[in-house]
Amino acid sequence: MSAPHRPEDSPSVPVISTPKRGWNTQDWWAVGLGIVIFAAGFAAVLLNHPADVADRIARWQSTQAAHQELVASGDATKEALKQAKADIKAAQKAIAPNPLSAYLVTLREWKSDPREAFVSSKGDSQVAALVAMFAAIGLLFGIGSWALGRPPRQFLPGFALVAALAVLAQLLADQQVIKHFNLEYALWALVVGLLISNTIGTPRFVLTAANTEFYIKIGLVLLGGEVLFHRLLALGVPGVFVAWVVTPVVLISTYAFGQRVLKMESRSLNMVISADMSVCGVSAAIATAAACKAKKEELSLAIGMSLTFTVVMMVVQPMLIKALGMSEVLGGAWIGGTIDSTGAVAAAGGMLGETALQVAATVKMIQNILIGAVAFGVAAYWVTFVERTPDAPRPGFSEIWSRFPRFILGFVAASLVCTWLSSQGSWGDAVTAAVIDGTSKPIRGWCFCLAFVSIGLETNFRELSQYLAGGKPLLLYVCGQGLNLMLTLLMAWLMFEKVFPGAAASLAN
Amino acid sequence: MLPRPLPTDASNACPVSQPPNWRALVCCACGLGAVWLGVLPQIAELPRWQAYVQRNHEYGIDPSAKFYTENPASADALLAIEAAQRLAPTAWGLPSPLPSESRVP
Repeated sequence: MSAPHRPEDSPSVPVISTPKRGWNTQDWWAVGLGIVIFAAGFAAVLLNHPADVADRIARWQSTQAAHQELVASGDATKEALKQAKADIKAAQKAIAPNPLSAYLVTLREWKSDPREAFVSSKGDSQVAALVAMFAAIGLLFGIGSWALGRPPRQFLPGFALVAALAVLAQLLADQQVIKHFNLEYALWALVVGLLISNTIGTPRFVLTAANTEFYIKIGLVLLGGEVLFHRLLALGVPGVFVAWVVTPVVLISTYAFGQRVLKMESRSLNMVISADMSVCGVSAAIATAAACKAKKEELSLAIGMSLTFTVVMMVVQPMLIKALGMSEVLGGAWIGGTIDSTGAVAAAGGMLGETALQVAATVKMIQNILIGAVAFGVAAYWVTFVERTPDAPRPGFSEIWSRFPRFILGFVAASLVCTWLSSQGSWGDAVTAAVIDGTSKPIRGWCFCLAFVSIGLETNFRELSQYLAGGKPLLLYVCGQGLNLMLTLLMAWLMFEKVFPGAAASLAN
Repeated sequence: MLPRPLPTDASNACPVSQPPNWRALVCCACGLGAVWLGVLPQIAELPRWQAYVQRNHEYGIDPSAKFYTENPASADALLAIEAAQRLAPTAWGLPSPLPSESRVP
């Protein structure tokens, strides 16, 4: 029997290692597998093309018109508006049904009986679909790992165990209290992995499949499809100023503060904390950590801090907004621009009211889209300025190109293709939504869960604690979030109360 | 027989420094089980907690969402805000008609 692996003496390795040249690299395999998954999604939707699609599009447009009339009437009840929105979503789904969505499953919320998590909304067991999905993902990823030198006879059994731990982590995260406190699966995946590695040690065959980098890269290529740039104007000009002007200012200022004032030892830790605090929590941390080749422990630490502050802010900030007597629009914009996690933003906005929820969720959505630009910008900055030796000349285009992480190109390409398709009328919009919701999104979620389990399986507690030494990461987060709170409030007040008061009034009405 | 060393990851080559501690793992698993199957379901029954969860469900809020596509409330918010913008696009600094209205049907 092979001896288990203990992470005590492991050197910390980057979450994303330096890309190698040539085509048989992890980056290109991640892009290739991402393309295969998107292609499967599009093929499933197009082969299932309904014969009466024109009628279905007309039905969708009529539901949109009915919703618009209700809003314009000014006296529609909440129930009527809710029903109208549900009709729109059902009509859009009917335009482009995705048969894969029945097989690519996620767990459901449960309260006291964990078995509820494995039952679909229609009451059917999802266990068989879950097993089939992981078998397919394991085979697909196994091909890539094989090409990269990891033998399938070690990878496949290891993957089965990593997948089982990922399901366990997701199960822990889907308990109702945990879920509604925004304690996301990333945290529980780390905990589950850490428990194994720090007690009995990670079996060596499991380490073959604990391939954090690979899962993150594939997940990010798939996430690219969800970064739809035409959503940028969803909240008009005020939304752009709150989400796309303040956020980069806070990100750059926090990073500069970390480097020049706090003198952070690790640039990558500084960047990951700055990004997850200023952009959108876990997803931004993953994208930035990949772009700047942060260490696994740095990503874990940044996410741990972000989740902790998110839980506090989602409770305290709505109370503060109520106490200060802010309007729902201003309060929602402030919450949307400052609380890290997308789900927690909605929960905190909902505590203030429906208008605040709408503004908060939309500001955060615009911030989510910023991930694409941030990941690309950070990757370019890293290969141009950070990775060169101090006395070396600035690298030319060919050097930057050779060192640029290729999976970021896959991420950006997926974003541009899906943005273009989604803006090609009702049919394109419906097809894009069907492929994302029914194919890429569930696999992307599981990829990130597998990645965090893998990080836990390769990490020990001592490695995590050394990054907190001196309290600099905590200080960086607190100072950056303080600046974020001030600037976002100032910009939201300027935009919604002074420059575009009509926007706030139209929402409030 | 020991498996072949892994080809890429340097962290995989380290030796075992401590024996497996099954007791610690079982204790941690029991602790997790007690919290998830005993304590958390009790908290979930509190009236104040139920009101909070019910509101989240009513609004379509998924508090664990990591991206807007995972949160049904984001889609609802988008529909509501687009409807408000169509009524008064200039109030939002947007052209009239909205770009979304001039898309190819």
